[in-house]
Amino acid sequence: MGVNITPIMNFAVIIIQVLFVPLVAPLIIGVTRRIKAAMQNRRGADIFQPYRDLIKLFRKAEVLSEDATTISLVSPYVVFASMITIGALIPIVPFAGNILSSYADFIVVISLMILATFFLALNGLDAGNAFGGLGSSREMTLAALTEAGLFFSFMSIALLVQSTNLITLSIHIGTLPSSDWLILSLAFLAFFIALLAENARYPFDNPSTHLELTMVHEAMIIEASGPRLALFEWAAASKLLIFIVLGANIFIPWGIIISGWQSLSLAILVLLCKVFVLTVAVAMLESMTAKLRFFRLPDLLSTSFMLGLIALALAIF
Amino acid sequence: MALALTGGLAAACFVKAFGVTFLARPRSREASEAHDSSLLMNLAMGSLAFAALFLGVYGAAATRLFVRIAESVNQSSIAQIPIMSFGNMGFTVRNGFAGLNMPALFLLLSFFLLATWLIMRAVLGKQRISKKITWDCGFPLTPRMEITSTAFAYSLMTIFRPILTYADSTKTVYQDPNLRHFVSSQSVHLHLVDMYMKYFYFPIARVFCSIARQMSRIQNGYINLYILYVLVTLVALLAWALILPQS
Repeated sequence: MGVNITPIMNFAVIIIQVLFVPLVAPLIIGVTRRIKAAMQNRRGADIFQPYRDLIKLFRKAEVLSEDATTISLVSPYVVFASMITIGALIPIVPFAGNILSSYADFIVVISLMILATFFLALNGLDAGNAFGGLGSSREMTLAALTEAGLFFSFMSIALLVQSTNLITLSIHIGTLPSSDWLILSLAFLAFFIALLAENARYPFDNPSTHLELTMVHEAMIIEASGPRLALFEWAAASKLLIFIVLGANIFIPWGIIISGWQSLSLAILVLLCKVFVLTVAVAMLESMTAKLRFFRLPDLLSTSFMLGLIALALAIF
Repeated sequence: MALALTGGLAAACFVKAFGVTFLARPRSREASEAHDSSLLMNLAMGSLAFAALFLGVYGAAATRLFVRIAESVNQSSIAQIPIMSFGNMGFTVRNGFAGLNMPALFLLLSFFLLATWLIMRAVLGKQRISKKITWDCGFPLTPRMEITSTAFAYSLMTIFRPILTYADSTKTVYQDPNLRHFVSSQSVHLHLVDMYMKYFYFPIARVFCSIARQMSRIQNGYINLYILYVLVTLVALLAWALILPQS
């Protein structure tokens, strides 16, 4: 590294880091929906439909509840901005020379996600809608339980590489000996369960439900409309992409060394392939599993927790 | 590490504390008559909130100041401890194992927040917002339908049932106690049993109470009895003094 790194390239990396997540995120949702439609013998909308949905929502006038406070006005922006910040930090194009890279600690990223969840849950409570309150309660329960597995899965890898910095992690993950791959795969399983839980995917939540009794994420944004709903939807899509990118660039250590323009474009291409594979995996899994009852979810989350714990124990000894 | 694990629970706790107290519709008549306090009171609370935010963002710089105080007391240099070092802006743990730069993160987050708002403002123009009632599925939304703090914590309590035991009781009042058809009111009481109280503090307290009960048998407040104690002690001392010089 550090061979052909020019200031222009440094700038380009930052631009890519900031814009990648919001620009690609709706596409991921589109691809997931398309695959699910195909699995259900439907034709489905084309993969660019989420972009049109967002544009439609942004153009709409907004309806706010009479009971809503400043929280409803502010929280979509906070949730969205948190996702953009995480997107700028995580290793999309892992590149140690990037000035933002020194802040990209995984604990920071998890905390920023909690910040977003916090405001999302407050938004659910704000309008006084009974569903919103229940959604917030469920979301905070899941968030509190998911965090441990997520934390342990990252921590075990951080111990292997001796750094909690995500950029350092993703650069050095490829140099690990194959004896560490067991830890890597256990940590990945723990991470993958957390991915499903954090992003309101099956078996935790149905991302397309509007049945009041079962929804979690949708219940919290039920009172949002127009541009604010668009921000929430966009942030949710971004969160899914963030998790998929983290999975792709931390746990699947191929094609992430960047030393010049050519390898930069190659890295983006490889990343897109890995993201596509993981998206297909999520979509296939969603088509084949049923949603679990809410109080069965802790079983799955404790599986994630135990896998993370085993990986951590293996990494320590 | 423990902090990282409990972060989600802490967030849940504050969503509950803030959300149930201040958001949604007032759940009681007292709450519906609540109003803002005077400017000075707000200023006092606001300055504390600002100080909390400031310490959160500039924690590392504040820690350096505290380290200086600690050094002046202790004489030895705490800054030499290798496990954590503080810059003006951030913390570093064990020579770059982990780092945190709060001011930079705060700035980054604020920048994106402002940018999102400005871009949306520029592209969409002034937003048209109309105020309508909260979606209520056709039934008028009453304060009884609002989520309460017990309901909010219920799922977490159920999941942690093995550790968090709670006692719930349902009380139903019928219009006619003999004909149990028409319910006039029904209430559910949930009471969380404090585990530390039940299994740690109360057993210790019980031991001391039983000792105290034994003590109270000789300490029953009769002056005559106390004079008897004094007499017995004096006689015993006298006997001891008589025996002691011989040995």
